[in-house]
Amino acid sequence: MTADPIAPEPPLELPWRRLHPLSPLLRGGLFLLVVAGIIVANLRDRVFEVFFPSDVIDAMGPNESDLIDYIVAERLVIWVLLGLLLVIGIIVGISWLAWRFSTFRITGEAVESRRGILFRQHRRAPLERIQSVNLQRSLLARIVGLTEVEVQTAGQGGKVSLQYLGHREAKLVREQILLAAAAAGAPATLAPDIDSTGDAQPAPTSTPAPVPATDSATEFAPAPAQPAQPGNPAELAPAVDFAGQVYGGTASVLDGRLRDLADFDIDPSARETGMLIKVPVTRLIASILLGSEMLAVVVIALAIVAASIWGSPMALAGFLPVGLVMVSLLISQFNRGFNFALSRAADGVRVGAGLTATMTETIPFGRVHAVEALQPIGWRPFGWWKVRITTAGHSVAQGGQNKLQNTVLPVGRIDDVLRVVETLLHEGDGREDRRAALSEALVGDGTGFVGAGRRAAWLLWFGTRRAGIRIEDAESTHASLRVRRGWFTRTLVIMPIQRAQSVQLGRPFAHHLLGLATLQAHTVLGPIRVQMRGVDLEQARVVFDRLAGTVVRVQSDESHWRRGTASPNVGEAGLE
Amino acid sequence: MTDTEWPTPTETWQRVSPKFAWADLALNLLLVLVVGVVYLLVTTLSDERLPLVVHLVFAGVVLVMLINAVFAFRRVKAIGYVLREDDLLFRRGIMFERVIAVPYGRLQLVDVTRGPLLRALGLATLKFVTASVATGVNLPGLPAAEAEALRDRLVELAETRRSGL
Repeated sequence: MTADPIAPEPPLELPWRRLHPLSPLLRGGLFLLVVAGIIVANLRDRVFEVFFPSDVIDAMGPNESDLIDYIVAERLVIWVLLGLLLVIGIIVGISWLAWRFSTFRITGEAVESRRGILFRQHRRAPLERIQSVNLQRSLLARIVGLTEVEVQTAGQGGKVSLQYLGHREAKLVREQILLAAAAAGAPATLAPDIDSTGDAQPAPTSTPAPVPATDSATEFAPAPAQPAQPGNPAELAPAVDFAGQVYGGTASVLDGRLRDLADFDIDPSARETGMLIKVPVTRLIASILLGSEMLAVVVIALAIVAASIWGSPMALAGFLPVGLVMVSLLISQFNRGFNFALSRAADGVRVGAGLTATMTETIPFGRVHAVEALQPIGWRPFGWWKVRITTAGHSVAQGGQNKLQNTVLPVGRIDDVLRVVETLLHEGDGREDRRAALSEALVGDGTGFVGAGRRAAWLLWFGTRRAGIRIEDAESTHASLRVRRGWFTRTLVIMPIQRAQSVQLGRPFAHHLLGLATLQAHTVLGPIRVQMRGVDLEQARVVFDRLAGTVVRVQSDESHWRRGTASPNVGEAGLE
Repeated sequence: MTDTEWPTPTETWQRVSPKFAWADLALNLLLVLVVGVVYLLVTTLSDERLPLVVHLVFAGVVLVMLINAVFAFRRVKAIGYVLREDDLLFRRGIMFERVIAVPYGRLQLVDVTRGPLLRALGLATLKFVTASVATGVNLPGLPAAEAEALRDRLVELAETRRSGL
């Protein structure tokens, strides 16, 4: 659209490219809006004078724009206009320079970006360290038709962000990055059909099914190592409606803009394979009202009422902050969950949501370190669950309003949870027994789990009954650690054993006295704590030994496998 | 007791140098001293008589810290590690005992540091860093030569068993 044409050969050595020419406008957008606002405010009456008689103007109140009158009176118009032109010229010039100096490229090893005129900045995200590729669009950017591409890497604050690209080009760039990452890190991503224990399974949903839909849709399932072919971005990265369908027919320019504005960015192949999960608005609103955050706010409000009745009426003043918290909570949760859709693409899992500002996050397979399903007490009658994940790129403090904050399902029924977990972990892949085991772990009575010890009720209270830990599929490379816990908020944590950093058996003081122990698996920094408290000491030791053994075996299998496949001709030379 | 046998029935725990207990003790006593100085400052500088609670709190804090300091020898004895075939086993703590198993492939880096106190005793601290901050495998008070040998051994083991993130 704007940058140099995409070079087809060699496949993954794309040249330096520029960002969209309008991007400085948007990055300095606020400043320009302020300037325009001042000019318009001062010219308001001038403009009106042209259309209305002067008595109407006088009726509107005194004229505040002394500035322009002064300028006219002192005959400075020429100089002011010249000065204005000069300022605009300088701004445009600097923006143009900044745009000229902001470039990015995708190579066989990394995504790189360069920017800055005086202070040059060169950022590099190695492909095998990429944790997710996100498309972010603020409302203003959506209107202008621009999109920010953000490449998240492992490690805090390690990201390359490309501000901004045209929306369709951004989608293409994302595909190119994901394809390059898949090619570079192929052994690291755990394709389900390559199971080193020989536990080969048919993977009906994992491979992108040949999509018989439109021509443009098939472009989304290319073979790895072949980047998206150059061509018209409109055909390669079509806009998709909320049903996951590509908007049909050819469109005029304006129509195309509107479609981009309303592009839900769902992978078109997901609809065909049935790997598309959405959240209806009514359920989202109900879930926010019944959620535990809202419950806490209601409890505080009741406490204030009680205090004002039996204490001093001044306590009612406390309603103001509580009300503010409630409103901001509602808005942020609503905005984050609105139009939520999770789809399975050829190269990863795509999660998107947003009301005004939208964000879609694409997580390549094998980047998920832990999954947690939660059910606050208010959701239990409806059987709703929320699912969140830990990946290496997320920082805990990442709390912007349009960020999805590790949530991969704001609210969903148990079927949705099962599908989401399967999609994220390649768990089951449609196999009925695994799906049943997962559902049993979520809502069942915990058979097959090592439960809490005899005297654990002192520590776990109502959560004693649900508490349990289990190593699932210990024999295969897909082994996972599952922990059930909670009463007020029921949870199920699933950690692929492949991703465990270390395992721990702890005996804090109270546990020691009661003859109990805690078991914990350490993952990268994230919101999920893979820990089980109150296990009987003897049992905990048995589980610890098994867990440590499984971790070593699964991870050494993986490293052998990496060694085997990542031979030079595939790993490096093939991409150079 | 099974406490001494599990989880390594065949191998014995490697311990850190007993000399480290003296460093631990000295540091703890230094802290007691600091609290004592603060107490003296508070009592002498305040114009009015302080309530009894303040004296009691200070006395309690000093007592707990003294007991904690005396446990230095027991605490240092509780630190141990074993290099198993595929993972490092580490344990620490009496009141909050922890046993941690880290596969060698998870090693991101090994850190050997020597503070002034430890250097005087000819000791060093070895830190085993993984991608998880919670792992926290920290071997304080190894003899300097042993710490460096252990570091090289760990790096070598990690090289042969490298896995992803």
